[in-house]
Amino acid sequence: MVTRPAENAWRGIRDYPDVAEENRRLKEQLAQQEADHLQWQAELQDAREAMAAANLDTKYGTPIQARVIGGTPSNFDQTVEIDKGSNNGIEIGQMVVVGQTLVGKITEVQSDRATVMLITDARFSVAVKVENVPDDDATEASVPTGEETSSDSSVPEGEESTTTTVAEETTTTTTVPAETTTTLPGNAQPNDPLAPPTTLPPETAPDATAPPARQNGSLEGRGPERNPYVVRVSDSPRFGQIDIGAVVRTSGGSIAGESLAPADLLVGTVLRQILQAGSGGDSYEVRPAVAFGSLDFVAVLPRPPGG
Amino acid sequence: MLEILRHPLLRLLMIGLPVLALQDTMLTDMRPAGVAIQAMLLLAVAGGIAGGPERGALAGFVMGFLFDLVLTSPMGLHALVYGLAGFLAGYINSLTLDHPRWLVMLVVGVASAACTVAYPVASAMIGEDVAITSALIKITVVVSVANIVFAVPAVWLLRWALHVREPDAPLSVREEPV
Repeated sequence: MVTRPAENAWRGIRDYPDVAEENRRLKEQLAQQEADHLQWQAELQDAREAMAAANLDTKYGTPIQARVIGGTPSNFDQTVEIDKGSNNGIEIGQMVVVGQTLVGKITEVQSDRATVMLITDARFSVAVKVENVPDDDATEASVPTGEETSSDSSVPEGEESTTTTVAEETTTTTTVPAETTTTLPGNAQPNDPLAPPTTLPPETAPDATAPPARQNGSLEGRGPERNPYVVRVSDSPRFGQIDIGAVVRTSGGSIAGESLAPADLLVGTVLRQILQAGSGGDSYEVRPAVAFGSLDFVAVLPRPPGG
Repeated sequence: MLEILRHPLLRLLMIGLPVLALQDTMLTDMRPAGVAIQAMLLLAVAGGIAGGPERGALAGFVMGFLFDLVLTSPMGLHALVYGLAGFLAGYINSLTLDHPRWLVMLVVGVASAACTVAYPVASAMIGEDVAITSALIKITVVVSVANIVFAVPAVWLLRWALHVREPDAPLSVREEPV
């Protein structure tokens, strides 16, 4: 008992090299395990992204999975390079997606790599359709009638600021009950053809069976740091007014080979309306659904029949 | 055999290819303020300062042609614009007899800026859709500043590549007599 401290001291002196060696070995093991953990996390992230890229409807055919391996050395091109090429069956003109969201299209193909032009490139163009979100989904995001909203906070700095007026009829249909729409002045009967105009025109009355407003147009990229635009081909009021937040999807083509992009691929949402003079119709700035800065895995779609 | 190594075209390729690899890899990922530094443009402009307008046009054409090989833009567009940039840099540099280091850097900056602005204009002239936006200002500033920083070593490299003899060399970059 009395000699125990001395024994411990002697054991400490005698076993010190073993303890130091064990300490060094444990530190190495810890470092190795930390490295393994980091690698496991990276592989897990890759696997998640690959699964997201592979989450594609089979109606588009069997996609070719590819990994983004580089960007463009130019300041004007908006392209990325992928690690699959003609050896893997990739051809110029094929559309590139993440999940069911359009990323761009193949513009150059080599044996083991290919170049993808992103939808933000100024040379990119694809036929799209813009559809309002159905009322059930839009209720939460509705804006009061006639209220002007300033430019969205997510609009890149330096962009020209415009105001957006939300269509009156859109909100009216969701806020005015059917009974109040037929309130008539004086003692006029509801169905009296000679009655003065009502406070709400009949054509704006709620119509639950009417499809959401839709416009067809062309999505065109606008270069670095700018969102693409949808240039409306025709200004047809009978198709309805497009709301902020409306969904932009590829329209495909009714004729074989009319469009290289399959229909109904998600492109983004309408960020704001660009009012333009003339009869060409208005344009819409589109917030892409894909974060191009963090692209990792993509899927290349086969050409549509006749494309 | 050794004489062929003195040919300017071969020397331009010897410099241009490694720099092109650097441009397509490291400089593509390293983007200060989101802008890719244009090393090939730097070599084009430096060629003009080192060898004068005609050799600058040659250096610019070669560097631009190499750059076109890795881009999706129309083949020859960069060769054209960079050739003009090399010629412009050589012409500006020839307007003065003495060329102190600060003037060399200034000419590199001005020629780089002019070329960066000229590229989308040239693209538009041949029917390419290139967005001329406010981002062009930022791109021009970043590219010019980066090229100014590396102007002196680039001019030194291009003097070797173009095999500039003493009488043709600008005073400020002329080698000291041994």
